[in-house]
Amino acid sequence: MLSLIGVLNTLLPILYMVLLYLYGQNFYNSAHSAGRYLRNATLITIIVHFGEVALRGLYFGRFPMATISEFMSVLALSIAVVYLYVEHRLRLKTTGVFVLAWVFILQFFSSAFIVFDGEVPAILKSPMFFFHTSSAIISYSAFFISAIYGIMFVMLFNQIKSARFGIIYNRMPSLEELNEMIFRSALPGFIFLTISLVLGILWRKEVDPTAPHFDGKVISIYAVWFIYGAVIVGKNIGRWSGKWLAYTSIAGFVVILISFVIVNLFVTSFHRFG
Amino acid sequence: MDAETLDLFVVGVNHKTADTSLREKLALSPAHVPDKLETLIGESAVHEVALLSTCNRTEVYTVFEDTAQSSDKLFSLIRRNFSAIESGDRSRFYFHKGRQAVHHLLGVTSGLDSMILGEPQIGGQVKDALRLAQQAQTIGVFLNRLFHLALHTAKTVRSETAITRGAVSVAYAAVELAEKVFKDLSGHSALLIGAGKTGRLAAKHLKGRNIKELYIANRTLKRAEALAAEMDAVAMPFEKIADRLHEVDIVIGSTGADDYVLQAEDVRRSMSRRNKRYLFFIDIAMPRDFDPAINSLNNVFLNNMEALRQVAEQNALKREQELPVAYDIVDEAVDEYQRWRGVQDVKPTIVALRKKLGAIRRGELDKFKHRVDDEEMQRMEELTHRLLNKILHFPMRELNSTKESNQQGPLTAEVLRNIFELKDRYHEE
Repeated sequence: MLSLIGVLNTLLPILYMVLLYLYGQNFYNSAHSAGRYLRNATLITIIVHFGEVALRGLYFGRFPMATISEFMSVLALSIAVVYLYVEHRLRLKTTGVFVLAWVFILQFFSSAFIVFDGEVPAILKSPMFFFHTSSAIISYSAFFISAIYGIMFVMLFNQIKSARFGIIYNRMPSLEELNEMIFRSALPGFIFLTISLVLGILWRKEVDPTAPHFDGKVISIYAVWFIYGAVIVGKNIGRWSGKWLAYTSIAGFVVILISFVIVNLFVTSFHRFG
Repeated sequence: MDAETLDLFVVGVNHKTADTSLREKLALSPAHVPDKLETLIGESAVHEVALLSTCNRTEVYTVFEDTAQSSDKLFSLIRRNFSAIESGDRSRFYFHKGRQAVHHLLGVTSGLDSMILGEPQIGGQVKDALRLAQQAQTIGVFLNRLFHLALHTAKTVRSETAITRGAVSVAYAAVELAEKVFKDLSGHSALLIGAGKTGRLAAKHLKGRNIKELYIANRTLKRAEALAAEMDAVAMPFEKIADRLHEVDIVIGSTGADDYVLQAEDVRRSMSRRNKRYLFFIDIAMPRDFDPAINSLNNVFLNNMEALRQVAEQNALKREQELPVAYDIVDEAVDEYQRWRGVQDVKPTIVALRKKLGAIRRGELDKFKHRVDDEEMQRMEELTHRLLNKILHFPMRELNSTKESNQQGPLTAEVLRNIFELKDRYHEE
């Protein structure tokens, strides 16, 4: 089984690269025949990816999210799933290239550095770990997509303002639609992050009541929670402008990235992977 | 008629070859096309005919006698049937034959020969030409197939290339720009200030997108009311524009005013009443109607004529870049038609040859009918049947093998027709 897992793990970056190529072709030329195969190709890749993660979990008898490489792979899978859902709901394929590029990068590094080793601390075999981390990963994926739409919004906004009509202008949906996407992606992200935070608090009390509540990771995630909370409240109550929503969503994701780098490289935290 | 050679021809003029006055002389309204078709089919050399007449072209598609003088004869035919065409006009007509004629119609129908590249209206006009010719019963199997193929090819070109996409007129570019800001124009209102031609056209396109409400403001209220009645819009007093800006999302400036109609301060005031909703200005007036400082306000976009032109030109360029792919599709369809034509050229010959030799056999057998007994007759029937099949096998095999090659097929068929004195393929019994 391990050799099959190895083959699938090598195959995944290749499949995502092919997807990226197809989405790229579709972005530059919507009439390209690639457009017809995108949905099925993405679905097949997701099924293969899910199969690889499931096999790894079965083989090692634990949730395959215990190392940074494993985390990246599950994050890539989660982003692909959330993206496919958004694409299906909004019937819009032109933005896929921006999302799939990051999915490919995540899976490439995951496949390159993954070590097939079943030995992980016992705590990471707990079902609570699975629910806590899964909901966190889903929320990160949703925030990631929200931030990508935020970037696209800012680019299109600036092109229209400055009357420089490039490929972004040609291939993007309207500002109002991008605005909607930022919000629609951020909302499930906020809900899952809330679930993850609550589960984390409960689990910490169960595992080690003496452990400090706040560490670098927790503080940054609270910041993310507040930022995306502001996006949701700002859109519905504060009637924030699209540009504000876009900037806030991008800022939220930057905080997530910074927290990853800092927690995993520079500080001691019980959230540190690997 | 003996085995004369027929081919497909197109003769006509378009916006590239003829000026408006000549095109006007040839233009026919749909009501007059049936009569003209009746007259044309009455010409001895014309076997099938269809007429395509639009404001940019008039073309006669015909299955016509193919001789060295075909183009002269076709031009004479045009002169006989369309008044005031002089011999000096000949240089402005184009004549295409066979494959080129097929290629021409397929390109025309796909909008590749249109004044605005890729414009889709021509597809409907070709469909009308086909319908009128079918009703007048002036087209047969060759033109019928050709026109259907042309319509199908145009559909493929539209779906597989971006040749019809993107606004290529300034007025339409304004709508395209608005659609890059607003998701669905039907939920938004627009205000047209002034009565400039491009502005009115842009407002008309917006109406075509089912905008919620169109307001029209003019220095003269009466003029605004008249225009509003004409465009199914609502007149707005000119002096109320600044106060009522919060009611609209798209503002088109198209006046001849010397000063700005709206200052940045007017727009700033209205934005506080808009709940951060976008406000989109299109300034197509010269001199400009809107203070350029408006564009620096948050959630406000101001695009002028230059921007619209840029959008239109970029789209036109993109359409041109699609031309090679579009022509590849057309070429493939032309090959398909030519292959089909090759089969059509050969099929009647096969039938006619079998029929003729069969008749000779029957005639010879009949001479012996009363001179031999039934058993003998039966043997002779079988013998001649086998003999005939064996003799026919060679020319049939040759014709069938050349069916796919439209170059050799018709030639072989022609030789056989001459040798066996078969009837012309268009006048089979």
